[in-house]
Amino acid sequence: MKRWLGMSLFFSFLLSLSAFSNDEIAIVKHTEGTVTLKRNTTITPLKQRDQLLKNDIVITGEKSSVGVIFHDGSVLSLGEKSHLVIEEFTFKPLEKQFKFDLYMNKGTALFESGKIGTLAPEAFEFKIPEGTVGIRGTKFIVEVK
Amino acid sequence: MKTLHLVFITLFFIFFGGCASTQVILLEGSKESSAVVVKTQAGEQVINVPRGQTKISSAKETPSAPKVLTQEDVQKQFGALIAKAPKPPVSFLLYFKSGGTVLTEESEKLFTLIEQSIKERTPCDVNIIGHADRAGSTHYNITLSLNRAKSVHTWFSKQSLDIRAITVESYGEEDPIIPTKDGVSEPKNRRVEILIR
Repeated sequence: MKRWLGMSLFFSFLLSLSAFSNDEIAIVKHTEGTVTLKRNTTITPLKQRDQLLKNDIVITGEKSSVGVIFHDGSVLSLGEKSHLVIEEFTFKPLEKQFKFDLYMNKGTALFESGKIGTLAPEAFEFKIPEGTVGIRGTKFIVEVK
Repeated sequence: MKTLHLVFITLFFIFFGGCASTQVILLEGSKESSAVVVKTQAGEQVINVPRGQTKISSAKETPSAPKVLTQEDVQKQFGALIAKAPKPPVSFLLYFKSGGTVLTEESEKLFTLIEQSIKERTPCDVNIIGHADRAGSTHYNITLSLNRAKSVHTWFSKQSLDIRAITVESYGEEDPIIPTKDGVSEPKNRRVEILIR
């Protein structure tokens, strides 16, 4: 009985481990100056090699920047004094499930779309206070499919 | 080198100036015919030329008609940001001889380039995805494509490369480059995709 309990605990631990790694949606490639991560109610400095999760908020200070690569290959680079929320990120190509929403209420961002931009451009939205920026499909989409 | 699975079609900026005016600029991506659509409650504006810029003053106004900036303008305003942007991910396709985990001679030669691409992207994550063609049963191909991915993984583990995480996956015969009928042997589908991001 005890042994079974131990086993099941072990398995649930394994499951939670894998669930955690699946939640990771992006890797931090570089940071410069003051870059802060706001996750739920905690605020921590963001460093190179850190992973980002859905609902994370990335904030850059003066003369600061951060570069991030999302799991679909999208590139995001934020300049100084920026505030960006990763509202949604679902990338499951085999199940054809895609959703990618970013919201920036101030700052400068460079964004280069990855697989979601190619496979499901309508699933991507870069929100700004005045409205949204979306991407249009290209001839190339047909070719890839 | 093929980049079939990763295509960068769009590149743009968003910038907020001091007087609450937002601008969006489409940059040259690696593919032609990319476009962004900037929308407010009042209407939308499509930018489909490189360095095309639109300005948005409020949610109640349509974004301005696109204006094409010069290369110098873009560099002056955003050169630093462009220079600092991480290198986009890259993918490689390694092809195999039929029925096993032996690489074709051409694919063997790609490893130098793969190594270099990883070094340029440190810290990076790597996905190794094995695929099979449709010769043999579905079950056989799942095992075969996994073994192909694992054989590539063995190569990676022997190098002293600074990789944060490696994921090994197998798609069996489910994700062909060239769709075929069952039972057909297709060299282009016998592959391992390496994604470096």
